[in-house]
Amino acid sequence: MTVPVPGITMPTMPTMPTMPTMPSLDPTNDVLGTGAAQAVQGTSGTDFAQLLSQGIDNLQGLQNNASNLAVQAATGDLDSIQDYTVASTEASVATQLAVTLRNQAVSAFNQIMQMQI
Amino acid sequence: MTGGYNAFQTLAIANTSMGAHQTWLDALADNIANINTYEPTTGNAFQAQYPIFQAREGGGVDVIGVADSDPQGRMVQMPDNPLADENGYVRAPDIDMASEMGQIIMAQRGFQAATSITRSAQTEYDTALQIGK
Repeated sequence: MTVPVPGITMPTMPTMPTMPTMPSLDPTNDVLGTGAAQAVQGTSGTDFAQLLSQGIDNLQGLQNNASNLAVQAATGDLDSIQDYTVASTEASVATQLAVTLRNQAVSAFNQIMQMQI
Repeated sequence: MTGGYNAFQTLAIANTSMGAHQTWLDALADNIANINTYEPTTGNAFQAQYPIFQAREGGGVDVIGVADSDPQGRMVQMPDNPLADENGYVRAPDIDMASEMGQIIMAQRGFQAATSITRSAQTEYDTALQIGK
């Protein structure tokens, strides 16, 4: 009965501490009641926001690193070429990943919005 | 090096390999450049440099030091050399050209292998990004 709820919150593995609240879903409560729904929304919402924020921070760091090395390459201060090529590859792939995640999130949102009620 | 971004561990490891082989190539270039550098017998001969590699904890390779060749070098008779002593001897560096050329091929192939790893990693990332498209 409660299986679909963790199924939705796929990235929320660290939120296992919320599991002890599951026994409150005794038959007197409606499983799809507002309380359970709010709990799920709250945890998954903050976690996704945190994940997104961390991802953007990481991306920012990689891009800053690549930018600094690009400046070094232009000014002739670059010690090893591979440092720059690797950093720029990392920044590029991370950016593609962020864009892909955003596209998937928007796609999921659109699918939900187009759902027939 | 990669800000702890474990998704790019392959690239970080390959980067250490490229750096180590680059150091090796630099050292070999210096050794070969000085293969005809003679020193007077009163001093040390030119010492060839050979980087020492060590595996890095968690993946990768580090250059932890440089081994120098014998400072005695080889005593060579060169009476025409202005640095020669009264017996006509100078110190030539103890470098084997054939060995240096062999090592250059090894270092270059190692660098190429690391570059090939980065290419594989990029293909891997591109493939992973295609999931769900």
